[in-house]
Amino acid sequence: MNADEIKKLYKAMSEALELKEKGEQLSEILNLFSEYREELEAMFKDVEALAFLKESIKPTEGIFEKIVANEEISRLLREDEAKHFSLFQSIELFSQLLTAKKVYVGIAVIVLIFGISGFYYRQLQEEIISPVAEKKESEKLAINNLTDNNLTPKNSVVLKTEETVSFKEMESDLTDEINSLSVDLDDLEEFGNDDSFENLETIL
Amino acid sequence: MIAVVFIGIAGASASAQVLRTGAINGGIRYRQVREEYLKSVDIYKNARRELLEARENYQNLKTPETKSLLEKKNKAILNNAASAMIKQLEALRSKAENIQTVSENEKTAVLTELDKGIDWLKQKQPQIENATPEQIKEQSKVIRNYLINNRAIVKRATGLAMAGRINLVIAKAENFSEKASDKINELKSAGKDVSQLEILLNDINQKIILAKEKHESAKEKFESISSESDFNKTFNEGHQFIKDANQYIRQVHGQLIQLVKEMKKIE
Repeated sequence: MNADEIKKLYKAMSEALELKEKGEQLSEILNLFSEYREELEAMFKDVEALAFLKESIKPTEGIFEKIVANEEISRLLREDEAKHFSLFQSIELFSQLLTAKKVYVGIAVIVLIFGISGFYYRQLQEEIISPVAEKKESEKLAINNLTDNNLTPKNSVVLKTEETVSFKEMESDLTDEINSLSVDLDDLEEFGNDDSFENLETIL
Repeated sequence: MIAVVFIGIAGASASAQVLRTGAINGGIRYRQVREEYLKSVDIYKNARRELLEARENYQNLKTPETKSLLEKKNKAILNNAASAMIKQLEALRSKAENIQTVSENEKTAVLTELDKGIDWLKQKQPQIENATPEQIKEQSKVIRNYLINNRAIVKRATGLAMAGRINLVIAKAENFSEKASDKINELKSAGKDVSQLEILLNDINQKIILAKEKHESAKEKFESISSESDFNKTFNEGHQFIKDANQYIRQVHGQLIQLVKEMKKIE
């Protein structure tokens, strides 16, 4: 599969997920993207499995108690109802979890993955969109350039933050445009080279 | 399982992004219409095959039954060809409507041309449906004469949609380049050595000019397409200009990203 094909598959996956969220029937979606039927079927199976796990691991006390079915952990949960676990208690709880059935350990790993992914995703988002995140660096640069540029620190901070965001936005926008341009040109090329009705006049 | 998690996150993220641009509904609609078109082409091709078989049978047997079957198949091919051509124009219209261009007027002109073709064919459909065997021969002539016109409409609309689409990307690249130029001037005023940045920017601007020239040439070619011209040849020539413009703009994209990186280093 080359880069363009991967791009098309990725686009089809995104659109298929969107349709599913809107309540479209799976069979309809698969018919719509018939060229990617196999890949989409596999994806929806995974999504279904993931949704099931997600439902099973809601971290409420009741469900935890049901899952773990362990008096000692339940006691710890009750004791710590109004406060966070201490590090020692967390380790103790984790070791208790490890002694439970394998499936619960698996669930705990999934929770951990979600937690870590969420944390890094949030950090990434903050780095990209938050002017505050860039302010400290911009302030340093502004102060360094103060003697050269004869600008006030306040103005420099605003200017650099705006510029950084602006260039990032333009870069991202142009990259999106280049990618969607390829898809659009490929789609249009199909019409340009469509010979479905060639020689029809010879039989009419 | 980790891969699944990330595919889920990436898929959801990509969907959200497309939603933000308001393109997803148009994209989905286009896929649906395109799928309908492909199905109608299959039906038309099947009808075409059956017509040829019925014609051969009639020539061999010359019976009233084979004659009657041939008449039915003559009507069926016209019906199915007209339906498939309508679907083709509708699919192309959906695509052209969904793509972003610089000029809304140019887009409207393309859509209007496609609408005319769709309307003409839709008007013919009941006439074909209700035609007697004798009238079918007349309708066959009408559709046969229209076929060339339809091909020209498809080529012209496709080409102009391509030209409009790439023009938007060129305009965005040009805007980016102008902003980068302002920044370089600012750095220069601050006493920074921007000679390498200027060389890179100059190269970028040259390629933008070339991309614009290719776009203009393509647009001229596509605008000249008519049912009287050699539209296949003209379309291919215009398409080559689009490919060239696309090449330049891809290079410009890579160089602009490089330019921003270099600017940050100098800051």
